[in-house]
Amino acid sequence: MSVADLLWVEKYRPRSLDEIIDREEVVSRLKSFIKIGNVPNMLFVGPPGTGKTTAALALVNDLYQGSASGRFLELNASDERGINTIREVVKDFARSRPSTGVPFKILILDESDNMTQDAQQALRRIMERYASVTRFILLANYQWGIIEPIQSRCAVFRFPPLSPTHIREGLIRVLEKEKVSWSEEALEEIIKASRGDMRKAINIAQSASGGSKKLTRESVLQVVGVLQPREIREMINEALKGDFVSARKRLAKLLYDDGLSANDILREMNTELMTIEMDERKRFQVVNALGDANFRVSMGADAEIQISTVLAALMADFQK
Amino acid sequence: MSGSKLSWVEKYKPKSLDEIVGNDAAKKDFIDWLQRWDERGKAAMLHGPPGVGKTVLVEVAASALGYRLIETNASDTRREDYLENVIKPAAFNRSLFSSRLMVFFDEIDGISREDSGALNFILELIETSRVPIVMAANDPWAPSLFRIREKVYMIPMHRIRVQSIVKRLRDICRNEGVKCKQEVLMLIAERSEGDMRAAIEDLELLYSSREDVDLDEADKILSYRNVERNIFETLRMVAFAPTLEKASTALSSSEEKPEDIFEWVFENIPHVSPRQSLYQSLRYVAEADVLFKQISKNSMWRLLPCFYNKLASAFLVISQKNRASFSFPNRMRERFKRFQHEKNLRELESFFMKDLHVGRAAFRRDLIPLLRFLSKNEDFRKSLLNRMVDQHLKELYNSIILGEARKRFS
Repeated sequence: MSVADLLWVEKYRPRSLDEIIDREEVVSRLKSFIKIGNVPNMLFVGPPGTGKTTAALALVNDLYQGSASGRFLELNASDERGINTIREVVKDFARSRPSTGVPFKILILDESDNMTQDAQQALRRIMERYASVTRFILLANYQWGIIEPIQSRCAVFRFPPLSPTHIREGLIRVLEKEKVSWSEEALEEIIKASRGDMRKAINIAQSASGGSKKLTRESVLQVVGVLQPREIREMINEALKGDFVSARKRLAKLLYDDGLSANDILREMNTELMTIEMDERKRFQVVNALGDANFRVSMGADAEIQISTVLAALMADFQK
Repeated sequence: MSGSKLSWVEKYKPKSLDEIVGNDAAKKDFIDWLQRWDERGKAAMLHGPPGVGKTVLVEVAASALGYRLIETNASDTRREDYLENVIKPAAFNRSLFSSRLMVFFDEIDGISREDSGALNFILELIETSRVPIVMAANDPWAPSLFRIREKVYMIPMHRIRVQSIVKRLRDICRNEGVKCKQEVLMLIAERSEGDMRAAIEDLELLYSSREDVDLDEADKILSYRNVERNIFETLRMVAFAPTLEKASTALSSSEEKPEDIFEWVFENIPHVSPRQSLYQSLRYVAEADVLFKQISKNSMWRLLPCFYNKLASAFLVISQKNRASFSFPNRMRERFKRFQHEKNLRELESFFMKDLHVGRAAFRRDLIPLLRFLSKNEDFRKSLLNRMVDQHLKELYNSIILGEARKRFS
């Protein structure tokens, strides 16, 4: 028995390109690849919950017409054994080229912008060497997290946050299948909290409907409070107040206890820093520090140390 | 993490004059001075190496003679509002308080020469105060104390004798119910160089979690402390070096591993730097991090001096340094625990990632909070546990998902 049927996000993930909403342009391009029976290396770029994995899996499913098993593999790039694992997997692929049908296999590489620059260089060589037997679909939050030589070898597809209309549509589809009743205000709150992230929207809906099969504004608000990463805002506030030691402790908790990726922490900080009340001159200094930290982490520097500089920037006074 | 248990140093801190070991002359001298104090007597300075009981003597004497102590240390004295609003009223308006007051400046040699505000304040206070002013210093010859030194009554305190330390340690062992070998106590006492606090810390390190320790073992464990002391010394020299050259030399002549020194700097920079300069300071640390990764990856050890220069600059860029006490890097202390925790997280997530198309980062960001929330529901919890065949997996689920859930929702 799989855990997939316990979680709505997985249970109702679109299986085919035809089921995907709000991505007409992406979907039509992907379909044209299927028609000619060949796909290029691809890079799917967008924030979490915008359908990158879903599109990749649906493509695989449609391409191999349901018998995809053994012909594609999903790997997580941020594993530090990553690049060697990928090399091994691709080698095995090359050895067992399928005799009939589509003459290549597909490797989906999740979170590929979490790879260091060195790992990406190695990946690029692998992509070149095995080009004839393997196509790569790289999934990433940021395009600039991927080195230029890889970008130029890929067809780039963008996955911007979903529009409120499409989040609503997706939610209603799931709620109807689960026979959950909902109020209009509840839906509004979910859409607001999801910020265009379909996975988050569905997760909130599942948590808030609980055992009762009813979605109310109150139950949604309660869940939103728990599922949102408030820790990051608190960390920023502590730094703004000048309590660096507490802010750094919280950062360590996020990195090591919760095990969050530096990428996620930096993205969330970026979102917060754009909206939090702050002198504009200071804001650009702090956001600049965040950019430096982001770059250095992707070069292989230590996340805690680099992000600490952003916390220190929040404490500094840039008036003069 | 912080426990409620008192450290032995705290627990066995002397509560009366008799309990203070050694320095009998200084004790008598100080008490006499206090007893004959009048408004012309002004101020006294206890000075001597660390851990000989300067602070504790002031505290105990104050309570024995019925004084209420207004204590400040080096980091308080740079706060002008604190000096103006707490110390000044205490020194002048004794009628406001029911009990007699005594103002105590601990670690007075920690005030930097540049902090003329605090130094002038203290000088003026010595002239005008209507309550006793007492100071403690490791190094009374610090240039910053030049003018103060001439106006105060100096009371020297000395290193505590090995035999006195051994005796005190034995008393503590008896009280804690631990068996200890005489030769181990001798080792601790000799290593402490007359520093009672360090000796008691070492004793606790050796015995708090062990039944008995033989000499060899003790020597091994304590030589680790030696490293710690060396780093303290290096850090102190670097942090307060007047020039880049001196700071860099202190770093490069240290025998500690560069990566360890780095950790100590990262841990302690925020304690030394005031809020305003921390950003500049940490930028150097962050650059040093990038540089060191390159150096060790490509074996470019000839660039090590550049690495040390960056670390030294992290201190030099601070114009007003706090004289803080250094602490052991949290990252080093937690390293093993974090490694284990990461392993557990991976094991748990590999179970979920098998069935769910979700990456590692997304699992931790989105799914763990979701599972935590849904697991409040008994049915959900049962169906999930049903799908976990492996007992170890169930334990991981219990500790990582439910353990946290209990903390958050109870």
